[in-house]
Amino acid sequence: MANITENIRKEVKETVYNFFADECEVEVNTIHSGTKIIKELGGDSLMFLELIEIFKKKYHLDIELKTIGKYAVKHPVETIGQLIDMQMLIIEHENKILEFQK
Amino acid sequence: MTKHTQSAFIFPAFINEYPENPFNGSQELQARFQYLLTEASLIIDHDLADFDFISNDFLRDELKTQYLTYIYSCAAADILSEKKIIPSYSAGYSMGIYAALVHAKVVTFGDGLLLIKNAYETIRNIVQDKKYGMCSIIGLSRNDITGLITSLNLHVEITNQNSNFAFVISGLHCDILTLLEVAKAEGALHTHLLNVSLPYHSDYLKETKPAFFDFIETIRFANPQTKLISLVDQQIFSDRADIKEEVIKNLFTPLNWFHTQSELLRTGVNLFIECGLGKNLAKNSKFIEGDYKFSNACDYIKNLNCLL
Repeated sequence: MANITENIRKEVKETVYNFFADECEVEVNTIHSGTKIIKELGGDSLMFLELIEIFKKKYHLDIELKTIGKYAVKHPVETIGQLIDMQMLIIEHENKILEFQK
Repeated sequence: MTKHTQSAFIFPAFINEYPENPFNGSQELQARFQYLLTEASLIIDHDLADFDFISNDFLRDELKTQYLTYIYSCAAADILSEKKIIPSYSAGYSMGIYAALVHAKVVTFGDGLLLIKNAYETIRNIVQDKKYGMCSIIGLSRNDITGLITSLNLHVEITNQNSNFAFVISGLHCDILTLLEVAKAEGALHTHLLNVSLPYHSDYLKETKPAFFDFIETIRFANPQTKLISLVDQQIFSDRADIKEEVIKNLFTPLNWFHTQSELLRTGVNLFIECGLGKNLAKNSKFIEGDYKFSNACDYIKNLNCLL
């Protein structure tokens, strides 16, 4: 479980933006917090899964995919901003994310 | 020092939607596809002659979609062969097995079409009016999915594993719908009902064996000119008798793509070329660890042309 610092917040944002720019072949400066991942970028669930794996490795997270899935059912992610918020919660709470309900 | 490249051609299953740019600017691939399309229309189905990716929609027709997938795969492999890209291995994912057989010169292009048609009709005769389906589930483990199937006594089974957390399931349509619902509640990140009405690779199709066996006996099989790997048990084939058996088993036996790619990596393959319309296996490869590249045939041909 990590304390979210400004550095982590910046790092997560950069990783997410660069990841989708690369995967969806768009300029990074066209992506913003309100960009819709599936409708506007053509993203898919495998990209979402890949991003989770990137963060799991980067921050040595102890979290099961199905825990994230259960959280996502209650808090669906549509935009880049929502995805970043969710990643921050995953980094902060790991497997206890379900106990942290908005 | 240049790293030695050992490649594998992968022939994927049929797709649920056409790509926006199926030839990616490759006129030679488009021309080869059109040529084989015309040939196929004369051999198997006249409707194929009028197909184009923009105006026609064969996606609602499972058999025609299989023909198109097969024709495109054969065309892509032909162009790669013309450019002297010779794989060490090839693998047919699901119905991709027929294009893999043609590429390895086990059967002719025309006989590949006949195999697809007969396999489809044999399966249809077995299932008759029972409603079946298939789905994919991403984000749960095999144990999680098996647990759900067992606890609810669903008439479905896992029929392919794409990675540690990506599975394909076949079975009774109503039970597939139930599984999708409970899988989502269990924490699946993504669930998807596939656009098919038959339970491919499942035990429900075991009765296809005698009829398909009889048909296979009418087709001339040669020994492969490229080593073929089984998606059922990852055995490497060099004998036509074993391949015949595999083609029959392919209809009613679960596959394991994850184990197949892992086995190819173990043998030293470091370049995979997906000879098909989509990029699904290339995308999936990101979840299979190893030092290798995975490219779509169309992109690979484009890059080759840029180098020439």
